[in-house]
Amino acid sequence: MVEHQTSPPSGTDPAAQPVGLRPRHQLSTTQQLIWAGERLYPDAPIGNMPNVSTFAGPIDPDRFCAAVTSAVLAHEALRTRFVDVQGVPHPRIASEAPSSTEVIELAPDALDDWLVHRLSQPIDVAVSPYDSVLISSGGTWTWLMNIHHLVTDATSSAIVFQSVAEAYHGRPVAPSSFVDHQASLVEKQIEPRWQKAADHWAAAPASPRRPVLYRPAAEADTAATRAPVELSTNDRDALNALLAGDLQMLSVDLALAAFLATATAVYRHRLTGDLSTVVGLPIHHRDKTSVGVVGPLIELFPLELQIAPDDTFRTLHKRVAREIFNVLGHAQPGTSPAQSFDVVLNVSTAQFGMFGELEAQTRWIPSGAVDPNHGLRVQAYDWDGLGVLQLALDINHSVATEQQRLFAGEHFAAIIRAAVSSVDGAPGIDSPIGAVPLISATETALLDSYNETGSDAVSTEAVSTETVVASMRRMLAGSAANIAVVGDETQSLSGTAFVTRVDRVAGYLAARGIGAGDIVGICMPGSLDAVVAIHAVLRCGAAFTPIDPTYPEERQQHIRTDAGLATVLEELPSEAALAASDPLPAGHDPEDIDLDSLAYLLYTSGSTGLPKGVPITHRGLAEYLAFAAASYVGDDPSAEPLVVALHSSLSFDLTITSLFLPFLVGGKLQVFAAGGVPALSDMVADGTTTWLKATPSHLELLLRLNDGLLPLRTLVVGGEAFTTDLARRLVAAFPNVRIFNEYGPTEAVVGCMIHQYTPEHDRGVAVPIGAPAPGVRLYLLDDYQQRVPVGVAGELYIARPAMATNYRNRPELTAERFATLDHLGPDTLYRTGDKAVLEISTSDGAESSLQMVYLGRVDEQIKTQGVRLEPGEVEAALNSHPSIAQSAVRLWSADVASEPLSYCPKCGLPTNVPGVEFSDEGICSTCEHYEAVKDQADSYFRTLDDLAAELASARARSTGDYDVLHLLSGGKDSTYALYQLVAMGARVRALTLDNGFISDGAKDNARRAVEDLGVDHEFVTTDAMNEIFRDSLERFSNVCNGCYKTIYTLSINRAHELGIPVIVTGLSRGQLFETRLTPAQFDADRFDPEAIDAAVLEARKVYHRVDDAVSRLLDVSLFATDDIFDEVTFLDFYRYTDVELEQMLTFLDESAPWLRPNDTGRSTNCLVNAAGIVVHRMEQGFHNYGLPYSWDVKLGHKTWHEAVEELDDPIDDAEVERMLGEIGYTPKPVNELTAWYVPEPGAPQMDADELRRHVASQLPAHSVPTAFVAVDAIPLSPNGKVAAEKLPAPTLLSRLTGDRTPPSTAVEESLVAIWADLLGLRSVGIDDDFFELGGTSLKALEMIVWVGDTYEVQIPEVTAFQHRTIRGLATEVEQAVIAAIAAMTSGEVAAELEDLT
Amino acid sequence: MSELTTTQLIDYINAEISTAAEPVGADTDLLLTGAVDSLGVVRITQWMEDNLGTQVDPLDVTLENFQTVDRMVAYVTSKSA
Repeated sequence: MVEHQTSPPSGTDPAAQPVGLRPRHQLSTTQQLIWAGERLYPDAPIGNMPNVSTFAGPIDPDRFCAAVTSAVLAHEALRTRFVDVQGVPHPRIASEAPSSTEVIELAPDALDDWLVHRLSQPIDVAVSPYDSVLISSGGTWTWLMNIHHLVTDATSSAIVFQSVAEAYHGRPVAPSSFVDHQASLVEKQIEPRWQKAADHWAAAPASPRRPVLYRPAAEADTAATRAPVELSTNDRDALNALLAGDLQMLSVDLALAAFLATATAVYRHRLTGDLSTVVGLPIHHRDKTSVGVVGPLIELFPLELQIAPDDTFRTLHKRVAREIFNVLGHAQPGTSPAQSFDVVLNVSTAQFGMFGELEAQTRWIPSGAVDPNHGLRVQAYDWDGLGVLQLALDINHSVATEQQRLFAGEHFAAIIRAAVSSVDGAPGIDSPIGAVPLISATETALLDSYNETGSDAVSTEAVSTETVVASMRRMLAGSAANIAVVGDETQSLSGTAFVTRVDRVAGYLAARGIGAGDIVGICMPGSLDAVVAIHAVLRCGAAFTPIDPTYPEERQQHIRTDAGLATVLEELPSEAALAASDPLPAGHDPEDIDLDSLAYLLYTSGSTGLPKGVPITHRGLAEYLAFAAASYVGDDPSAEPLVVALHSSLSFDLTITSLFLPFLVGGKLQVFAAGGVPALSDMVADGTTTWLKATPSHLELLLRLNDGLLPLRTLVVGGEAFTTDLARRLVAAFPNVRIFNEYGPTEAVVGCMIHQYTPEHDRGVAVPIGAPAPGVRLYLLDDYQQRVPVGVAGELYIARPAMATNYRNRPELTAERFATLDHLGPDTLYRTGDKAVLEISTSDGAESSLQMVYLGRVDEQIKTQGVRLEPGEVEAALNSHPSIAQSAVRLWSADVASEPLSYCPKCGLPTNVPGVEFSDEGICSTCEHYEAVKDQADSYFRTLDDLAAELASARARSTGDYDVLHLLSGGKDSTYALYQLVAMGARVRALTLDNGFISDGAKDNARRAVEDLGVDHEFVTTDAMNEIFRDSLERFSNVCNGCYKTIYTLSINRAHELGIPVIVTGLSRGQLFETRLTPAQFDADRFDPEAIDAAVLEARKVYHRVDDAVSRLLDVSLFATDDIFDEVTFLDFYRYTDVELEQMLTFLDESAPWLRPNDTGRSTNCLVNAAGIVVHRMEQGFHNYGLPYSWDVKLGHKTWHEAVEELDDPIDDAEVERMLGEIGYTPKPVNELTAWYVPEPGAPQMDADELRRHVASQLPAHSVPTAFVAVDAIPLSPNGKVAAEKLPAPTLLSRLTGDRTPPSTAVEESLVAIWADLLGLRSVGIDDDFFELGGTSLKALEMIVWVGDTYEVQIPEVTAFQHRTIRGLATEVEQAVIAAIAAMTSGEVAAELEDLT
Repeated sequence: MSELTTTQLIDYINAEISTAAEPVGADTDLLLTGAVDSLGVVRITQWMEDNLGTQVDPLDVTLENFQTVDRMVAYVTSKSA
């Protein structure tokens, strides 16, 4: 295995790359890839393969130059020039050497600089494929031989070196021809082995990935730096022992390759977290005939490595070794996939050795450029053949900063050391891959300096020795108007009055025994009273717990119980009660409050389950406030009094700052009682706020409300990710504002990190969160709780002296989030669940400093195909689209979303059924529609007399022994119907489909009923059932659609054979409403049962002609023409009679041998149904029986409780798995990378394709969302953060792609709008089939009504089925309009025109 | 069978795989002498699969089983036993 190769630029179509051998004078695959790189980056020396040999003795320059020429004449490849003719390479083989060796003299100290410069010059392959220079410097001879990769590889370069040595010493040089070698390979292509290998690689998924190592590559770069990996003699010995022992393979080189591939996988995994890595492995094909050939014989083959987090080096190595054999087994010459690699591992066996009799040392000096797709090349070589492994990393500048490249070699060495050395007798090879600390002492010191230098400016003022109660007391004594409430009723209090009021309430509380050690709940909306209450609780020595009165009752109750509250204040005591209360007794001086006693207990939401109580002491609060005062007020040059707005929920830790800060710095507090948007609106109207703390979501709202008059001077941003985009807009809106980004979880007391935004320096996507507050230490750790290198993303852990160290009553959660780690000292660390990265900032001029950048929540981090991606990055890419105002990106999983939130209180429809809206009372839109139409719908239903007439007509049309074919499932509805039909005198034949899963109970019911009635009956079945189920699951995620279609197909065939003119179905009334009676029909006041029947008939024709498993596997020849649809008609029994459930069950109980099956779910006769339900939930995110059952409830055939309970019935997973195994279907849980976006007001409509292209232009393929959902607003939690659980599920339709023909006429345009709205699509092409877009017959009926309304014409319903594209439909509409106009009188036309103008 | 196999293997290796100047024999150390490299061994395993019907498990491809033609034959024999 050897050297490097250039891979194709990403985006190159692999199919366009010829594979295998080409006729003479065409380039090999490897050469074509190199050529492509050459064309893309003509100025970068990425093709250079320079070797520098230094000789230990004198050289005769003339003889040497002649020897080089001899070697060039011997090896045809070196005489090949490549002429670019309009982008196509034309190789030209010359008979003479295309260039001669230059001889120069250089001062010894100038040699290296000269070399570096010379090597960085791209070789002009149109002139000569090599650059040969012999240099004399200070009596030493050095030869630079720089050969272009188009004609060499490392082994070839060593052959050239040896050839020159032979010629120099007067020996003959064996000639070689790369072209002949290529031609000889053609013969191999007829071998089956070759074809098999070619097929193997052709099937391998090409995975063009953007390089990522220390960071994802922002843009393609060819610049690279070689970082040596230094190993000690001991480490080398240990490695060699391992390669000859435990890790022995066929050869040392192979063992080394497997070991280094393992180390490379660990290295990359530890830096990126990725669990899969594809390493390009160069393989050459030198056999007996090609051993001396000079040319680019190597090819890069993909080595796919999967890493498990609990791997040891040995377990991973085992997989790697196996995979390498797999690659070697398929490594036939000319079969390598034309694929790009971001990692290449090159274990070179090339040896240069002696120059004949002369000692020589050959160095490989990198040209400083690599293929931009290569993020990392791991180079292992031993060119002098001395048995000393040289190991180096070529690191592309796009994936690592300069600082990181300096440390990179040490990181890789640390991994090797850990694997080869033993610790306390335990062999390193058996140690977990996560246990290796990557960073050196030097790097550790650099990281520690970040914790020490943070917030120098404020550190002296940060030491707090008194509680906030005592501090406030000092500040407020004698001060004027310090607090005001703004709202309906303007009130203001001076500082003195405020203190008096607080003291009185504190006295009242103390008199009721409240004091140190107690916790008092404050369940009040944001108001002056609430502020007084909070301060009073603290004043009497107790701690407070805010309970937001707008929270759900359950949540409030949990907090009250969990906190163990002494009392809860829902309002302040009345004036009378206060007047009657004694003042605070002695011993209640503010100074008496213990700094280490609890100040507040704040409840925060967890990602799962119940809110948890975070206890914060007075010391923690005081230290934070001292930091806040120094940071946000201390050096405010304006020195104007602060006017602080209190607008956010008291339960939100962000609010703590505003609640206390103004009192400590002589500012004024304004209380905007309304909360939320109204509070911000009041604040803008009030127009005096100078200091505001808010979340980015709040600030987005503020920007919309802003009237340009708010005198904001300080903005503190917290709570969620803050983008520079928003920061820039804020600066534009409030020109004099200082913006601080404050970071801190509740557990670490409000804020523990800060950064002041400066537009000149903060140019990244996110505003940094900066440097730690005094006393705070911040660590970024990887999944293995090891510190990550500088600039690598990790999870943030915080140590702060007076932070929370537990959650109240939650020992398990406490153990999970609070811990000490031996290597980070004795302090408790809080594990934030936030991802961040420490970046080197040069914003302080020459002096560089480290600052933290927030990346998002760890649990929001998304993994697709084992590769990590950051939602924030995708959101930023989307937000850069001019038509997008805001976006949120999450991995949407149907499985997770399948828990219904609640049910319609009337019909039990779960709220997660898509396409249904729910009123404020929770009533579903289907109930509302049903209420509105049910009276009118009566005209659709018929009477028993009508049924008798239908049966008589059937008798007349019958050509055999039966009038009707009855579809008998064995369930209650079809059994009851059968009895009625027989009672009415019809000659009935019954038919039951046995789909292989019908319950025995249902079959017995069918048998008993037909025996009881003496009706002829048959079970029909088909061998194709499983395939039909599979197809149905593929298409609809359920089994029923396939089953129904099988019944209809088989029964129509049987009816035709038996001369039966009518098939009777037992569809219930609910099913008739669900499938036939669209609300739009009624809205338009055009309800016409006959039109519906005509439409249903047309729908039936379409239905039977769709290409699916049924039409492929069953006999459908009857459906070829329309005749059969006239010959055999359908009759829905329950259209003619309505039976109360009770009445039906009584009848079946008393007059029929019908028993409720006890071997299936409650209302199904079919066991496989359970499998359909599981698959549907998993793939579509909701229960497929939600809607049908809700109709049963509406029509009184089920109670609400029965329906809801049945939807919730447990399902036997093992049985479902067995059935799916039998059918041969594997569910595809939907994990959809979904983008929800808010369009800019007035922006043109966008489709998913456009957004996808937009994101794809900035990010790698795995980061491009598959679904795009437009929303009116991104839902927020009460704290102003994105409420992911409230984002609507993406429909199948939002995922559709494809090139669509745009509309060209006005009618087509309006139809596109109607279809898109109706189907929930962003765009529709005029040649798209309505039904293929997901339209149902019900939707089709609705659509026709809508179109008719729009144009004020009557369009027959059947049109929707006859013209299924917009193109076809538009013509129909135009004709209808023309006909309507033609029918008008001239007066009417004039009036119409009047209307229009 | 094993003698036939030995001759076949030696012929195949000399004709297609070995890069050594001298022809290899049944007991030549193929790997230490560099006559056959890793890729060469993989080719030999494929040849075994194609011509002898021996299914070679990648984990069996060790120095012990593939150092010489004799060892290869012993391996093939053990697999077909």
